[in-house]
Amino acid sequence: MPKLPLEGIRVIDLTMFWSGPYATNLLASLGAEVIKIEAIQRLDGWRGGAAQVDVEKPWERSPLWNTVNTDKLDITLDLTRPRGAEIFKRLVKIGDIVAENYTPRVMKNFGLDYPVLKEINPQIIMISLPAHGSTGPWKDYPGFAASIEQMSGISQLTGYPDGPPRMTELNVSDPTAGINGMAAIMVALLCRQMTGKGQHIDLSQIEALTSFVGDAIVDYSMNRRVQPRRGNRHPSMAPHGYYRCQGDDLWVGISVSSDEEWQQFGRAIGAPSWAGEERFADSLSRWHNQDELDKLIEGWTIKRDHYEVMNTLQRVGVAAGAVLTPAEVLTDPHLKEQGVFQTVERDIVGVHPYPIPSAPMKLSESPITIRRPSPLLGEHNDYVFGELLGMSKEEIQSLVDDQITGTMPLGI
Amino acid sequence: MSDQALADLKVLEYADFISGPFCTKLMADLGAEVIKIEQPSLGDPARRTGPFPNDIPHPERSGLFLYLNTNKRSMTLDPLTQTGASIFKELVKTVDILVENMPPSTMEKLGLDYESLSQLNPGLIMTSVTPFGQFGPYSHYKANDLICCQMSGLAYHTPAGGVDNPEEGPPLKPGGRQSDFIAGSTAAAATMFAVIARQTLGVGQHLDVSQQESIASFLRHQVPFYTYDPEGAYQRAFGSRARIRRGAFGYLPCKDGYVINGSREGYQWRDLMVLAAGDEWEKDERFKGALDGEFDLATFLLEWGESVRSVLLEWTMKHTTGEVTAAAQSKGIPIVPCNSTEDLFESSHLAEREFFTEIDHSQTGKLTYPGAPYQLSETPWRVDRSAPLLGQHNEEILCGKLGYSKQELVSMRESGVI
Repeated sequence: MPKLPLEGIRVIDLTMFWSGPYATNLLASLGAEVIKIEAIQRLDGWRGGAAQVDVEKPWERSPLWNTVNTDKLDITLDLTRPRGAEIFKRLVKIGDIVAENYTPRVMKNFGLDYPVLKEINPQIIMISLPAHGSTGPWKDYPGFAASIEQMSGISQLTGYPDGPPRMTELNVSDPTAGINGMAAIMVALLCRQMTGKGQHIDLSQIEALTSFVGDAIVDYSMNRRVQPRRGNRHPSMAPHGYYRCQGDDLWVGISVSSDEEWQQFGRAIGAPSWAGEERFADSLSRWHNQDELDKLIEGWTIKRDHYEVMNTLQRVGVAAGAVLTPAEVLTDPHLKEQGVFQTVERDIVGVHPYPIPSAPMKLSESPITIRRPSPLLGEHNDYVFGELLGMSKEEIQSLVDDQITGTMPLGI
Repeated sequence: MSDQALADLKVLEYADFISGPFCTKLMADLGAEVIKIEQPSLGDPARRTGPFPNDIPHPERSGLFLYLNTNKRSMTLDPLTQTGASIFKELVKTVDILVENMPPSTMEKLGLDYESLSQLNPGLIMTSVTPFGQFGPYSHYKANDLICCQMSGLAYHTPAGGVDNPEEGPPLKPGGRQSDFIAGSTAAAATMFAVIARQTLGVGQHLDVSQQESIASFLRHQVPFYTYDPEGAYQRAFGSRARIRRGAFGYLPCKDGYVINGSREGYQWRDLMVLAAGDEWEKDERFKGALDGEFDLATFLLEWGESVRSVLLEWTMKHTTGEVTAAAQSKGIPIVPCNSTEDLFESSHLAEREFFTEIDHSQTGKLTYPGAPYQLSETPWRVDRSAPLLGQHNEEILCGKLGYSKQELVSMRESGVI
């Protein structure tokens, strides 16, 4: 089996929830040894995400946690106790990367912030992914699920035209920070190869998102204009939006960007008389009359299956796509052929499909699969303490007795 | 030696609009040398997209183009011509990375596919970014940001919290062109990884980045909900867009905009109501028993949500987002403003972090741009040069780098090669 490019890189992973874990998930799938650190006093909060209750070991049943922590190792360590912090420092000494996404005061309170870690290991690359960055007046605002999109400015641009700002269900801020985190770590690794030195990466989740609407900021700089919410409409193109199709809450997206495409569209939908009217003949007229146009188009789509509409229009070169529901994402023929999901068996929850973390980047020389399912709580305590750090069985047992480590959450 | 992380990397960009150019911008701003190939006379379509100063279109003044192409050099070239294709290959020999976002099979038709180019440059890393990837039933489908948002499942789940009437509230595309930027970020991460991989494996490779997949990958946790809980609550909560969790995502309108309220615990709601209506609020008949016993957010919002909201609005509508945020944060209540671009501009937080950067450009004068999506302590992000004019570096590259004469340049221009 070809060697995975990040083999030999060791990541000490304190991240929780989604943003940091997504970045470390990518690293793990590309071959790095990722040692995830939780505490029996405090599990990764994401384990409570959508887990069933009234079952055995609910913390092992979260679909959220189990998806984003494949290929990683898991240990438990209480960093608030001196012995725990000491062991963490020993891991930093043999590590390449430390990842954390606490609010900035937390690592400092542990006595484990970058200046301390740099002393222990000048080669260490530390990445912090706090919600608002490590500095500045907002740094101690707690980041919560529905805050980063709003703070970044992208929510203001999202929503129906007559309504309030809206956000995406999937908290696009988390995975955005994750993918940027991965890129940043790669850059720091490259630098380290040249200079032999590590560095600190400060990834503010807000700033990572704001970069997605950079042109709106330049617009403000040029014209002192705050762009309005447009729903699904486009500043100059029409038709452009989502139209209802046959069935329960099923939709298709259609976007026509030129007069040639408009001609093709008219032919594809059976050349109804309205498609040939003056008021829709050129893009500016279509844009001005799009309320009427949208109704007419929906009169056609509502009678048809959304996949059928997509394929009919794409065949003649018109941009169209079915609005996929979650169930359809699993069964979509294209995503299936791309091999985006892999079936993995895991203790306690059994067999399920999981998305391959590095699937969006198909590499011709480094084919990637999920090598191991998400770990159980403290599953690799013995390996990390015993083999990596050379502790004896007695030493490890005393850590267990003192509740510095363990495999069962406290207070359950 | 440069203090910039990627100062030794050379990148060739044959891409337009957003996904490819954003990928290479992320490298250019960290010091990589990026040569951007543009179509002669027309240039990158982003030049025609705007926004423009005073809304007057001008190919050297498009806000989108200027933002995406900082630090790069521009060369016009038509690889459809024989000379053009030949010059393209000469350039490929001099670079580490090629980033392109042409429809699949375009590069093959030009004789510029990975197989051909890697023979000229075995260490080449070629990153291809497309809406649906290089193979599969949709790979030749036409798409843009709207289409990719829906084909990845993202639009179905927006807005968060659902809508009152799914028939009247269509799935929503996030504002701007975020899915294009997501594809660009993914391509940049993949490319950086391939550079590391080249060190370990000793070879370059071809990267196939699909925009649909990039976003579907962001959606990952929605899918396991389905298979973990086939007949349960999550199917209903996430399988349908009809609003289940009323008021869970609480936008509160203020005098000058919106704030968002992330309160989940009983004590946070209590403190918030005290702020809004004073200590006496609990004595109001409407709120009898609201905070008794063990607090459950869903029940609280279902039973008392409307009344609570009307009380809160009476307070927020009289204050600015800044005032409401400051008052709430001082009591530890998680409320933050929904920032507009103007708010971001004025933000003392972003100013202290030096997030924005002012860049001078011959055609627009000084404009403010967002800076780095992350900060590196040793090897900083920096914009040293503004986006290039169309073909600004033709002479520098063709004559200086590749050794063509000025007369050859003239004839290339006349025949449309450049």
